[in-house]
Amino acid sequence: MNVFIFLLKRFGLMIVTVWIVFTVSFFLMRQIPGGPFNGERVLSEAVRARLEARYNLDAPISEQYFTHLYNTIQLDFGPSFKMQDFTVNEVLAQGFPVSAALGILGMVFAVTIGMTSGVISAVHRNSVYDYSFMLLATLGIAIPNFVLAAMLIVIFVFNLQLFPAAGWGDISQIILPAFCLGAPFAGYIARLTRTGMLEVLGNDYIRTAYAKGLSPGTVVLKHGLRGALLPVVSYLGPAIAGILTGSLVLERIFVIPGMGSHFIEAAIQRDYTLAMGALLTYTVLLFVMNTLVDLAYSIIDPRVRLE
Amino acid sequence: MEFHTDSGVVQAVNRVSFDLYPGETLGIVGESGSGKSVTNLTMMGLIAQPPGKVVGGSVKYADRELLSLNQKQWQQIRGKKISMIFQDPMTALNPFLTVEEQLVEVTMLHMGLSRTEASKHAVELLKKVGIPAAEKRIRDYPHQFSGGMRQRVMIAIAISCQPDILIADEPTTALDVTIQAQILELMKSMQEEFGTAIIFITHDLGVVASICDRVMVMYAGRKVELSTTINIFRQPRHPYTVGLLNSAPRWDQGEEELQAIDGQPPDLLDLPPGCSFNPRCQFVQDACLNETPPLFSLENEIPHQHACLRDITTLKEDV
Repeated sequence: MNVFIFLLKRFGLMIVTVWIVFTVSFFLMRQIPGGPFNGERVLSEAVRARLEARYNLDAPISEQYFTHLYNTIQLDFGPSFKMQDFTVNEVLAQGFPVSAALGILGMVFAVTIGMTSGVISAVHRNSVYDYSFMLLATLGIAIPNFVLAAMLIVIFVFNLQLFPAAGWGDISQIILPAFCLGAPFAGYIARLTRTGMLEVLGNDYIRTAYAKGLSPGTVVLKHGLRGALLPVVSYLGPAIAGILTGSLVLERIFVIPGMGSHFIEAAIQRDYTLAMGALLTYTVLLFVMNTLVDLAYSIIDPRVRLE
Repeated sequence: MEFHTDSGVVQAVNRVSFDLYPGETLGIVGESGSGKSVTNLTMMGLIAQPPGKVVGGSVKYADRELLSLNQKQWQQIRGKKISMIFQDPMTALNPFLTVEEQLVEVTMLHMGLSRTEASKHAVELLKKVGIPAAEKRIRDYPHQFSGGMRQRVMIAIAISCQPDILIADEPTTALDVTIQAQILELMKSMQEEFGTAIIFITHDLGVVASICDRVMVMYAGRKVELSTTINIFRQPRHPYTVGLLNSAPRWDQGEEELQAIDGQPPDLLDLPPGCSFNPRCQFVQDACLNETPPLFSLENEIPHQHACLRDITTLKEDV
């Protein structure tokens, strides 16, 4: 019951937030100089007028706002300005699952690699393991993913010939980009886990656990890990929302038809409807992920009450 | 027992020796930093090494040398033969696990009980330590218990395998006075039931008087006096013990002002030469500044050990 009320509240809050994001970005986008039909080729007045009429751009801005809002409430984002013959819904429906699949696998890599190395680093603090994992973590964060992608392609595609270089549709094609996508996150998670774990291991109840005669493994994993997870979980929410909406660079390098490129290009090309669709999807995702984080918190730590 | 810190090597516990007999309660008294806790954590093998380092000495349990045990062997001792309760029950229990989980993991490990057996056993233990509605409360988390109740849970965990030795590190310091009395009562009755020997670390002399058979007084990592509780209270032979006794309120001394011991506990990194207590001692003489006092053992009817060159009982008439 508690959880139900909590979710209901969150949903209400989300609707308000989405509306604010919608309004602000609607007017901001139209304030930016240039429009969707300003290309290299100058259009004649007649053509421009017909185009604007087709996309309802000749109406007063308040009317445009309410029409667009009304359609959006019905989850209809309208036609894309730049990708003719496609509605925004179609573009999102095509790109989002691709980016999501890539993002989820990337996150799985990041969480497993990051948490394992973080725990090992904390337990064997200041050891060779600790130093090498933390060096790798810093490298993972610092190396831009296009550099990492290039390195991995050279090693795994050309030298070892394990994976194809690019494309989408086969399991073998998703592994390299997912790894590149997850690498910086793995670095952050490793550092967070290490710090969290070190803090937890200094607690009195860890000493109690040792005094009970439990093995070091049980003490660390059963008594330590839960507390160490909390900072990682709060980081994961926004991180997942970000990763699911795709990566422009990686999707370009590995020729993946995801959301990443739409996100950037829609804004650059003033594709009002597509930009709005992508932005609202991201907003909702971020909200959902943060709600999940709060739920996870209350499951991990019994002292946390949902409000 | 040494600690290697950035600012130097600290000898936290030095030449401390004592025997513990089955079923007795030994009090260890001293100021903060006098090495009480370190002594006992060493006995449990719970000092992190590094920075800690056991340079020498011996801890024997039933003729077995504990300091040479490996990790696996230690695990067979801890929680089963020797168990421990801590000062702050708020932080000594894991906030993420139910009380049940924290109870059953010990008995499942050391007594080989199944989960259902261990659960039953745990409920009985909670009843025994006086937790009302134990069947229901066992599924609660530590934060749902009051401080006194938490310390009861800690005791239940500590006695769950009927250990031979229970080390209690200031178990009542963090509790209200009324709750303190209840917890002491509980520990006494548990001791009677299981014949457990208790090492009671405290700086509260009232607690010592009410529960301990013998008392060891520690100062700056050394044993300065050890005898029966009655003897220590009646006939203290070390000036530090006298200072401790004078600084505690007593019912028979009426309105008299308490006499605090002057000065601060010494910095273990920078101990004065000779007797560590000499800067604060009112009976100090030249020998105290040069010579570290040996341990004098008086084998009267009641054995009494002290580490003072001047045995102040012989001085009392002069002063």
